[in-house]
Formats: sequence, structure tokens, C-alpha cells
Amino acid sequence: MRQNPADDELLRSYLLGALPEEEADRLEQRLLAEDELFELSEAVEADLLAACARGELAPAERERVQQRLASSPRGRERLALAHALNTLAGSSERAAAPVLPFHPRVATPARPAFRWAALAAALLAAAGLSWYALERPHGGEAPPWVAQERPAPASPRAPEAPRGAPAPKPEPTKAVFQLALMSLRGAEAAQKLRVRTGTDIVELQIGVEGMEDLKTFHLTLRNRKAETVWEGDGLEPVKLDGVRALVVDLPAGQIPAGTYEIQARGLTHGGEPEDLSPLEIEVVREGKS
Amino acid sequence: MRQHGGGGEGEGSGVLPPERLRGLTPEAFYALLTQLNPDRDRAGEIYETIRRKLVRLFEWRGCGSPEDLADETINRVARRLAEGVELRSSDPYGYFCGVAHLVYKELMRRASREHRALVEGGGWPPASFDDGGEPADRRLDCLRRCLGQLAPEQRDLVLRYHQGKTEQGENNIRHRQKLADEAGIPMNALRIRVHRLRRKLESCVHACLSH
Repeated sequence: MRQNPADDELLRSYLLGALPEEEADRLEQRLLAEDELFELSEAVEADLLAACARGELAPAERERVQQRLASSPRGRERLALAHALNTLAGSSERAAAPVLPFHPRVATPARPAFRWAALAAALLAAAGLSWYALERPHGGEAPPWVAQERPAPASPRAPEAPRGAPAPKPEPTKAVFQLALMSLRGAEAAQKLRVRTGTDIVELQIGVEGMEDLKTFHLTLRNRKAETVWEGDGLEPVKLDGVRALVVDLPAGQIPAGTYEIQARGLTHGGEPEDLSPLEIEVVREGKS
Repeated sequence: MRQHGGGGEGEGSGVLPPERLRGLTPEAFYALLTQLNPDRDRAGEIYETIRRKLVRLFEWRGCGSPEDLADETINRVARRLAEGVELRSSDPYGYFCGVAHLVYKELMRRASREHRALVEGGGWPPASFDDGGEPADRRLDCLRRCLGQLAPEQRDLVLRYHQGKTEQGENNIRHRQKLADEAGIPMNALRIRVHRLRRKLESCVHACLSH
């Protein structure tokens, strides 16, 4: 399901009781039927409660929050929790608390570092900015792989073997791309995956952080003609540099240049499926063949 | 199908706690489940999802006893189904929503005086931030403990998200946009991510306070 960007404003008006009755009725029908919209509504409600507790709302809005959202016992508890969270967040305790920085992660020699900050830049960047590709020989033995984060250059050059030395058996080259699944519609533009000529394997590392309730995932990769190119069931996330992610290795030849959609569905422990917003990717081949 | 609440065998329908039945026959309840899904376990899950959502819808309309109203809605739907009404498979929720609106309108008519007072802003005691029946200090202690159970990154995200104006003087919206940029996700996805963590904290604090 794709979210309408105006939904959050609509939900805010609804929660404040500012929608005409007919519109509120229609929205409630959608809320019952659409799980993602319902979850967004709960999130907008929590933001309103937090803003109310911080005294950031206009008097009329504050009154409406108290009358509508905090009128039940659970609503009052939520308001009290928002106030407590604001208190801890604004106090010196936050600075003193043993918390780690939000995003900086250290590259390890064994795996490409998960740079979600870089991913952030790529996700939010305007169309045209490429994904960061991390290329390395598969296996990770000597010479030690050095994590390099860079836009894939237009014409890659394989490292030359020393003169006279027997040519080592070439390791398959892997291009690693980091994507993120979301329960809401993500970036509107298709994400570009620049795959160099000579790449053997395309590894997709798909972040599923914040979806701890989903234990396994079903992924389907479809091409523009809606043909299934690859499908994986029962995929379990692994921890990559502390981040929960699905790792999928695809033979590079299986995904020629073109646009694809990754459809994803998560399963809770009880087996209840949850459809996630599809990811659109564009595979771009680079370099001479 | 799992047991709901305290309802055990020989109790009410054998599935629901008696307080949720309110005159509903087991036959009507099973008719409801059958129309929700032929698989009894799946039907039970759908039932719980619908009930949870109805409770929240009534809460968002400012009703003080949302659970009672959600049960009343479901029971009316179940009775109609037992009488032969069929849910449209393309939109089974539409019927629940229609009945919920009727229940709400009846409530407003029945309690018109109280409702007028509500609309005029005179009938409800203002909610206090320390409300919820627990002293603020105890709630803060519980929250500290529950935050400690989150992964450090998650804890930091929740706390940063709830910061008001930052030291750099950024307002809340700009501050959250910065967080979303750092995480590489749109603002609404950040909201959802924080909300899921907050939901965990809410359950944890609730459990902590009831000890």
C-alpha cells in the first residue's frame, strides 16, 4: 500500500476533531482497513501528545488533545508517558546515559561497514545520485579487503597481479548495495544500483531495523514486465554491524539493466503477514563489456 | 484458537471473557468468526485486530469507555451475521465501521447533556501529565528501567526524537527532519520507527507500574 503524503495532515486534523463528520467517517473506514495508515495515525497521536506535554500546542489544540486523546485511562497514561519521555530527553540524564551515537559505525575488515548515514544520504538524495557500492573480492582473504565507500566509478580496473607471479584464480567480484525496507512508502524515485561490468554477484543488504516483531520475510524481485526474477521465502534477518538486515546474493547476470520492484512481506512470530512497501530499484550497468 | 482474556472452557463462549459477551450467544460469535476467516486461528487474530482498532477509534473520538463501545459494536455485528447478513468479502471492515458510527451516534444522543458539556469544554477534568494514577517519580523510574532494555541505538533514537528545542536552537520539526536524514528514511517512516519503540516502552512501563 502506498501512503499519500497528505495523510499525516489529514490524520492530525482527524485526531484534533477538526475534520467534517463525513470526512472523518471515510477516514475511519480506511483506518480499519489499512494497517499502515492506522499505525501512522497512532504515531501522529503520540506526537500530538508529546507536543501537548511540552506546551507546544495552541491553547485550543491543547484542549482538544486533552479532551479527545487523553480522555480514557489509557489515553491519560500515554500523555503521562509522553511527558516522562520529554523529561528524560530534555534532562542531563540523556547525556549521562550510556547510549551510543545514533549512526556512526566503525568499518570492520571482515564485512563492509553498514553506513546508514551514507544510506540516508543516498535514500534522500535527489534522483541521479548513485547508490554507494562496495565492491570486494568474494572471500575476504588476503589481500585484506578495505572498506571503501564511494560512488561506483564509470570504468573499474581490476588490480594487476605482480609481474612474473602466477596469476591467482580470480575471486568472484561482489557488489554490495544497502537498501532499507520500510512499513511506509520510502523515497519516490527508484534507487539506482550501479553494477560494474565484471561483477559476478550482487549482494543486497536490506535493512529491516525497527521491525523486530517480524521474524521472517518473503521477498520477490520482479522486473518491469512483472515477471518474477527471484523469490526468497523464510528469510531471517542477520545482524550486520549491529543492524538487522536481510542479505540476498544474486548472480549479477540474473539482473540485467532495468527497473525492478522488490516486494516484501514480513511474518510475525504468530505467522501474521504484514505487507511492506515495495522498493523500486534501477540496475544500471557501467563499464565496457 | 487462542483463549482471549480470562475466558476459559465452560466460561461464556469458551473463547471470550464474559464481560465482552454482553448478551451475545456463542452461535453468533462463531458466525462472526466464520465470516472473518474459515480458519479459526486466523479469524481470532482478525477479530483481535478489529477490536483493537475499534477501541482506538472510539478513543480518538474522545469516548471514555472505548473498550465497552468496541465490544458493543462487535456484538451487534455478530448478531446481524447470525441473522443472515453477510460481510462483503472485498470490504469486511466497512460493516464494522458503519455499526461503530451508529453506536457512537447513539451514545451521543443518550448522553447529549454530557456531550454538550464535552464540546463546550466544561465537562471533562483536564488531563494531568502525572495522571494515570501513578506518581510521576515512579513512572520516571519505570521509564528509565524500560529504556535500559532497549538497544543503545534505539534508546538514543527515542530520546533524541523527544527532545524539544535543541541546544543549537533547532525547532522540533527541523530536529526530527535531521534525525530522519541521518537514518536515511522519510519523516513518516521515522515516526513509525519511533512509535514502535514507544509502544514497547508503553507496555513495559504499564507492566512495571502494575507491579
